[in-house]
Amino acid sequence: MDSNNKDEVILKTTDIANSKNEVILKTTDLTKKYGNRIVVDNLNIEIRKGEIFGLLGPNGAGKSTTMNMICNIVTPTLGDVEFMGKDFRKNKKELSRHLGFIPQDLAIHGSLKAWENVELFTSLYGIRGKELKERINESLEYVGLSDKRDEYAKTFSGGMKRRLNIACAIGHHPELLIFDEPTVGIDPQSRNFILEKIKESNRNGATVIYTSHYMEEVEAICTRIAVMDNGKLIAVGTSEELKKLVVDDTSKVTLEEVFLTLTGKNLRDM
Amino acid sequence: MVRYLIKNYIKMMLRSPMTLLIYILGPTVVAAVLISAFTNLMKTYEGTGNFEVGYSVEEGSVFEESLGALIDRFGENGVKFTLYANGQPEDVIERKQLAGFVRFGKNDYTVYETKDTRAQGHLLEYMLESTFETATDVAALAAAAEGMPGTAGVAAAEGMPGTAGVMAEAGQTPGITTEYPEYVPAIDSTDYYGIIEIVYFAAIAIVCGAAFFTNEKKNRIDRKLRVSNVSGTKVYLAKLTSITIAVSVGLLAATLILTAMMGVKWGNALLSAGIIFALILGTLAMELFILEVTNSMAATVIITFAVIWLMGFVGGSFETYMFSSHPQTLKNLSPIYYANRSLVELSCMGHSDFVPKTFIISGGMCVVFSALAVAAGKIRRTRT
Repeated sequence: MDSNNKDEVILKTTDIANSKNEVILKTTDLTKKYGNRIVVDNLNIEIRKGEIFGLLGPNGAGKSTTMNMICNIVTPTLGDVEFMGKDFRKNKKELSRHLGFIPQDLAIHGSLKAWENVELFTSLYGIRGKELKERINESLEYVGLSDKRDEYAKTFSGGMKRRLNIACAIGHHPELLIFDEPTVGIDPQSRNFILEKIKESNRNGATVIYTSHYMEEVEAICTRIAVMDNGKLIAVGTSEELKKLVVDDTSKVTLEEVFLTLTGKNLRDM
Repeated sequence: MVRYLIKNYIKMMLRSPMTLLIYILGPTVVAAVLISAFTNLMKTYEGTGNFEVGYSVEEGSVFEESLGALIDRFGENGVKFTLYANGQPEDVIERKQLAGFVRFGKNDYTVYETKDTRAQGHLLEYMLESTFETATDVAALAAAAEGMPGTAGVAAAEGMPGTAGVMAEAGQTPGITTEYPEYVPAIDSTDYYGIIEIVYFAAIAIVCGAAFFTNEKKNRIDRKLRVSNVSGTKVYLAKLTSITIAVSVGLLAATLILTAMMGVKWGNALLSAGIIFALILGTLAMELFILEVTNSMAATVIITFAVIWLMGFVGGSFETYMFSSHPQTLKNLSPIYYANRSLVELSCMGHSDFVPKTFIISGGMCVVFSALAVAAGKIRRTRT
């Protein structure tokens, strides 16, 4: 296929319109420009409740900017983000409590104990007192750090810090969880634990948006996958549907090969 | 929600060795060094207690009426005034072996002092300045109250070395109603440097949050705050409050050490604590504003040190404000000068007319710079 022709979405096969689940997040013509450089170009995606939606793309594809616009961290140049049926920017105060953001950076304070980190971030959503204590215990239990609750975060291993990062984002029981490369630089056991927890969260009702450079992770947990390059959406579908773009026999191709076919093999020095 | 932010921010700052080092050891060590270094200098000042100066009065001088009471009051403080109506001040000083001479003109006065009696000369300048600053303020208020067009003002005449003057627009004043403040009593180096080093370190409060802010930026924690329900204003207030409390705790420990080990006297302890607390809030708000504008902790620390050093330089942090050669106008521009003067006067006199000014200036800085910092943060976030 011609990977240079990316003006249109080349695959949008999954008929999400027939899905019984409601749309939880929708972007309309979402665009971000820095000067003359277009980082995200007219992005239109719909994510339904209960999905684990994977977002793939090489470095500089616009994934992080898209995530940041969805989370209200970056202001779009054009376009809208609709979350739970409402304009997210105009209803931030009301809607932000339904969103949990797990950034790629370890957004925790090393000089705070595990429970204090969870307390700080969970309290930002107005949870306090006895309920806050319960949520702290529950979050630490969920990521397997209950026995480390009184230890300083700076003494944790990389995997434990990643798990604590997740605990800090789930204490307010969000309906949409956004994971931005949550398994970078950790051992296979921690990675497996995190992926299992993401699936568990999804089974418990949370919708998940997941970005990663690890194709096998995305293939293993995501119900639908979107591929972005140069700020544009080039394909959306299930793993099988994306593979069919390359070969008919999907068992003979990996998602990584599909990704390289769609986005090209040139290095992205971004 | 802000309560939990404040609580955890304070924990982080108090767990940082930087806070311990800078805000407990810093003022303690620096004050101890300065106290020791300047003991002799301050003793010279203490030894100025009794000395004689000459004076002359021009006919029709605005000072004429109140001069008798002034001379009596100076006499009670160990400064004897002797009238020498004739002769050049320089000659009279030499001939009569005087510590100085004051020539009261029509609307101003000039202090003559010698190199050998600099300490007495400085004290004399300070006492006169304190007296007439109060007096002209009173005159101005009286003029305003009586609906008179006249005003009175204070201006330092710095034209020649070793002179200082106060000019009142006497042609229109209703006459000077002089109030005589108690003069700065013999403050020693222990009290002076013990107090002003606490003030100086209070003014660089942002350093207490440096490690915390650097970690927050490095790990992009601000993005998580922005995803949440909490507003930029609340985060700003949490930072302002927590740093102020953490620095206050550190400085309280330093103050207790200085008081216990060196015997620094604070006069009115509660009021002194209030002045330092207000100064931390005022200067910290300015520093947080610089941080919002530069978005760089390193740049903020450099700018802060430069600005606070300048404020301290003219405000008496490195040489006593009463002996400094800086123009009064410059001193008046330094918030640190007001805090230093209030606290030093509270220590040695038990009260100070500068206390209200100190609170107004620190409070004003806090309100203005907080509004600017919140606005700058909002603009920066919108632009990303």
